[in-house]
Amino acid sequence: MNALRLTAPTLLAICIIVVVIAGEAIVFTSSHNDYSSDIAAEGGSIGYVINGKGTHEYDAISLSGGLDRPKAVAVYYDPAYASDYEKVSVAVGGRALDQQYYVQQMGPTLQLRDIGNVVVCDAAGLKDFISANGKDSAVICLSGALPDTVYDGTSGSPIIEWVSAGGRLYWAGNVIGAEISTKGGLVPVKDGTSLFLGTECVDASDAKAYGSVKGDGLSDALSLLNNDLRYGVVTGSLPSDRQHLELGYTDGERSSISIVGLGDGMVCIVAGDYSNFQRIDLAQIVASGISPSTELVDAEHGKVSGTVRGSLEAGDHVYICIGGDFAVFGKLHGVGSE
Amino acid sequence: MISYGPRFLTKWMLLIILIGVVIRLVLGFLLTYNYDVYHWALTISNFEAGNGLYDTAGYYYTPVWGYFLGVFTQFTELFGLDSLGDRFAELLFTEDDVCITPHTAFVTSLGFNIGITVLITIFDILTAFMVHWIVREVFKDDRKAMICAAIWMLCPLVIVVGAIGGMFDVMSAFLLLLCVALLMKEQELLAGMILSTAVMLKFFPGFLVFLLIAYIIVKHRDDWKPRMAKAVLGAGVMLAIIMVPQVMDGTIMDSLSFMTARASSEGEGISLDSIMMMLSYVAILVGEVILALLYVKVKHDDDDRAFIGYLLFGSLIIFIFPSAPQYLLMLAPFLVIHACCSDRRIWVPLILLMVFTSLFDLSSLPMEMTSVLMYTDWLPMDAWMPIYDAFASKMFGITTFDAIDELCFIMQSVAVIIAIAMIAYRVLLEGTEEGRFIRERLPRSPKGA
Repeated sequence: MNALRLTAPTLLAICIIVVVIAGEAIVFTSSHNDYSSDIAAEGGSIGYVINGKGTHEYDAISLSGGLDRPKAVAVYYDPAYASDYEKVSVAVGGRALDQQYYVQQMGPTLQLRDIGNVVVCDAAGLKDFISANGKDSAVICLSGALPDTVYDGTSGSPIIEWVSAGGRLYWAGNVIGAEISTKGGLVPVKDGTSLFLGTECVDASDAKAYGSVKGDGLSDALSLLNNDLRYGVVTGSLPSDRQHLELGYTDGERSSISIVGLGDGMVCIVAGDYSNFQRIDLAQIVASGISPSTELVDAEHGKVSGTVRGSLEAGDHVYICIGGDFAVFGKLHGVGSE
Repeated sequence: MISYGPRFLTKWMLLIILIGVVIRLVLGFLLTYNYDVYHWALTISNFEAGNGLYDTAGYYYTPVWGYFLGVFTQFTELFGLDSLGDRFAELLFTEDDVCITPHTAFVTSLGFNIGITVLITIFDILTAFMVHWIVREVFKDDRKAMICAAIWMLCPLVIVVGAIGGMFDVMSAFLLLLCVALLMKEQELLAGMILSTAVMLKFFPGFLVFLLIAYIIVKHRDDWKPRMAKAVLGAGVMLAIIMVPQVMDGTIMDSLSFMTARASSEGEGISLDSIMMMLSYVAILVGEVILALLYVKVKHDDDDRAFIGYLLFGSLIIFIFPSAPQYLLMLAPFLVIHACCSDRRIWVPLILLMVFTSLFDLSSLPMEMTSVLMYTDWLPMDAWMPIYDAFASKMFGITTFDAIDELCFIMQSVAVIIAIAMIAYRVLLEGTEEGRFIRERLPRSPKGA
């Protein structure tokens, strides 16, 4: 048998194998830790420094009225309990985007935005989570119905009390509050949405938005992607005493993201049926600490290759995001806490 | 390769390569099918964020193309490419038009598009080189080798799939040709490694494994077993190297979704379409086994020349069920070689497949203009909208977008069937060894019946 002889095909084969192995090493040694950011007070402004591998776009966003990075994040998922969300089409060859896969992806989607403390809770675990974690913690619910362990269709439900005390509830995939999830099925709740938003102001009809929310430029700076409005909040119908913020895309009536105050806490509705854009927006909102009273103070867009420094007008938080619409890094900095 | 280079890189071939490269770069700059290319950008951002290829959605193929994108990022970094693309509110309405070929408001940047075009063009050239090498090796004809390589470089389907579509199917063709060449040079270990790479790029070359085994048996009837062992070892080692990360991070099923979920719009493996597709795979496998047995049993005047014919037939039956036009690039080199060197009549399906099927790219023409539309001032929105509207308008209940796609599907299927019929006719009725072998074994009607 022939030993290895350097012919044209053997040389090409060796090159291909080397390239494949090199590419594999590049793909699997790339890490969240390849990027970092920091801020420092500089008189009346905030100085920032961003380090990045390769060359990327970045956004540095100074916010007022923002929240600190959540100390703990729970993603609710319990296959033993009924859920209610629409099946969606995915790209040919893609894995079905069901609740399990969505929940599975939330961890890494948040991780790249510096939220590493994510736990997946079942119905009992969710009750324990909101008992153990108060203000500065977040719950993400994608099941389309809250479980009967935390929601009984009354204003005294543990989840509503928890939000009112300062918790942050992030919701996607159905009309909030309209059903209770049990092991035996779904129980409809009359006027359940009002318990969270003060009125029945969620529109479940299909619609897409074709324009960004106008105003402060926050949506652009956050690179929000999802334009599906289904289950979105008709913010014009909200009670006047409810502080709220709209982000993303809008048709003038509903927005792809609505953040509504409830007591000391907030409910964030990310509209639409399941999608990857929705997941990315959801993670961006959780990680950036946006609250109903958040305002954009200053923003800078630029290019980072190695290290870049800049300064922003001072707010109470600075959110740094690398990658633009193809985000590779995000980190929220509290101005007083750095 | 150094000693072979001057035979390939003649002044005429250099001119052909230059023309082919210029066409690709111009087309790749002006027109890009963003839906697929956006997914390459998303894949890059996913792994750059530390999420590998499959932790978050975006990459739906087996891993090898992702690894090539890993190397690709080193060059985009070198050239300081900061923006892979953007999502434009102005184009969101296009996503509502549900077409066979989907639309997206995500538009990849011109720099990224050119980068992908250059990457695929490199493989177009390497494939032309392999076509040249195999024709020269098997048919001992420099002129035909040059013609085949030139046809490859200027073939419309090859150009549009790579330059406009941004699809990497040419790499399947290249790796398959490389595997064949390595077997011809008795480098079974490397051949096995390259076959694994090809299968883990897109699985279609895997159907030809039986023919490749048959080739080793036929060429080395006395010592095929140790050679086979080397090939299996090479294939196994490379498969392990490619799949280790997916095994370690538990995403192995995600990495195989290209094979299991291609027929279902909801990505669920067990739909009627998926079952039909799996059944078609079984039918193809049976066909490939029969073909391999035939190659082993029948004595040929020239085993290598016969093998090229078998590879063509084996590739054709993979695509007898209608598939995306870009997949056809895997069989294209064998079609070109067969038409030039063995049977001129194959020019008919060759032209049908390689020229007219390339029109499928026209089905998304307005969407292919969006990079130029959004990143330059050359094409105003007012000028682009009437083009989009014309393609979105319906005639007999079908949009122009879909009508072009459907027409190309039909043309492609007809071409594959014509090619199979022509080869079957030649084999069975024109005195080939295979024809004699088959006729001797066909049940005969009793006399007078």
